[in-house]
Parts: sequence; structure tokens; C-alpha cells
Amino acid sequence: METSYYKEDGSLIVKASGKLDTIHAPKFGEVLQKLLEEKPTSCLLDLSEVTFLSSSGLQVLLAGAKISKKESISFGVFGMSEMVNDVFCMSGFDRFIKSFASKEEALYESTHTDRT
Amino acid sequence: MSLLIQIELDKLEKSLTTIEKKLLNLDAKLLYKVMFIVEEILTNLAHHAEFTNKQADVTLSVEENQTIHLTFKDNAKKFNILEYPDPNIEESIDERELGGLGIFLTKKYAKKIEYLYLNGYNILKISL
Repeated sequence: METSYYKEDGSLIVKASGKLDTIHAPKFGEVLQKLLEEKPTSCLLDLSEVTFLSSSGLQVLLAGAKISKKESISFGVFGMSEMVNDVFCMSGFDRFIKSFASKEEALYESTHTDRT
Repeated sequence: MSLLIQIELDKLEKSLTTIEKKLLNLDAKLLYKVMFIVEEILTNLAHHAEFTNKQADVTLSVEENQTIHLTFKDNAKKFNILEYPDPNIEESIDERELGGLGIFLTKKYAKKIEYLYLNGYNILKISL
């Protein structure tokens, strides 16, 4: 599982590649937490190359969303494959984590939403 | 195909990889669900279950029509996932807790779940 991050259009994009499972999700969670401590205005998780998301991965997403809410960071995910999206929605996460099909949609929403 | 796989709970990644390798011909979505369930059950055993002298194994069988049967057997303290309460997925983000989702989704993905406790062993049978 590899993690990378970069800024684009005012958002911090954090990308995970590979499996967000019991073995790899905790490390990603640590990286994400450290990045959120920097308090970016907006953080988007690129999950387009995540091949597997298990309950460990869900925990990382929930923890990220909770921290973001507390710190008023706009938080969302994009690019989930069908099964990853299935797990995400069945867990009810779509109720409180914004998700988008693509980075373009995610960034558009991020730059066009009044966050005041 | 029917296989019995001894699980080394302190080498979880190795066990998960072994199981996944046996299922490579499966439909991708079914494989996802099976690995989700297998990971969930084994992770819970490795991290949460109370037991000494850990013994755990999984019997995996695949029928021709791609029906999967998983039987998990362990000597941990008695634990029946069927009795484990579901999280409330309608709760707000502030109320949502980190745990419980894996078991909940396992129950959703499985077509059939049977549990029995026999001679000091938890026996959990899951079919998809």
C-alpha cells in the first residue's frame, strides 16, 4: 500500500494505492492523521487505486472524517471502485462523508462551496 | 475444492494471502466479499479474542457454481457473531463509533451463517 499527497486547487489530495485492510490501513491512518494536523482547508482522499477496503479501512475513513469535522476541514473521497463504494455506502458513510466519482468533480465542489 | 488451512494469527498477512491465492478463479465481487469476511473473522480472533494456546483454522470449500462455504474453528472464548449488536448506521458522525462495522457487513454479505460452540471450540459456518 502506497500513500502520496499533493496540493491542487487549494485542496490537499491524499492518495492511497493498494489495499486498505487490517495490515495496511493503520499506517495510512497515521499518515492521514499527521496531514490533517496541519489543518488544510480541504482534504480529499483519492481512493481510485484502492483495490480493497475492509472494516479497518472504514475505521481510518471515519477517524479522518471526525478529525476533519472537529477542525473545520472540508473532507471528501473520490474514485471508489464498485465494491469499495458498496462497503462505504452499506456502512452508512455516505451520510456524512462526501464522495465523488472523480477528482474533477471533487475539486469543483470544493472550490465552489461557500465554506464560511 | 475443499481445503483446511491452519491459521497463524501472529502472521495474519501470510494466512490471508494463502487463502486469497486459493480463490483466484472466483468472480471478482464474490472474491471481495469472501476476503472481507475472512479478514474480519481472523482479525477479530487475532486482536480481540481471549485465549491462550491459540488454535484457529479455516476450512474453505468452493462448489462448481461458485458457492463458497467457510468454516472457522477456534478455541477462543465463546463468541457468537450472530449475537453481536449491529451498529446504527443512521447515526450522525459524532455518534458513530469505530468498531462493529466488520461484523455487520459480514452478516450482510453472507447468505447463511451458522454458529455452534462444541467441546471448547467456536465453530462458525458462513456460506456465500
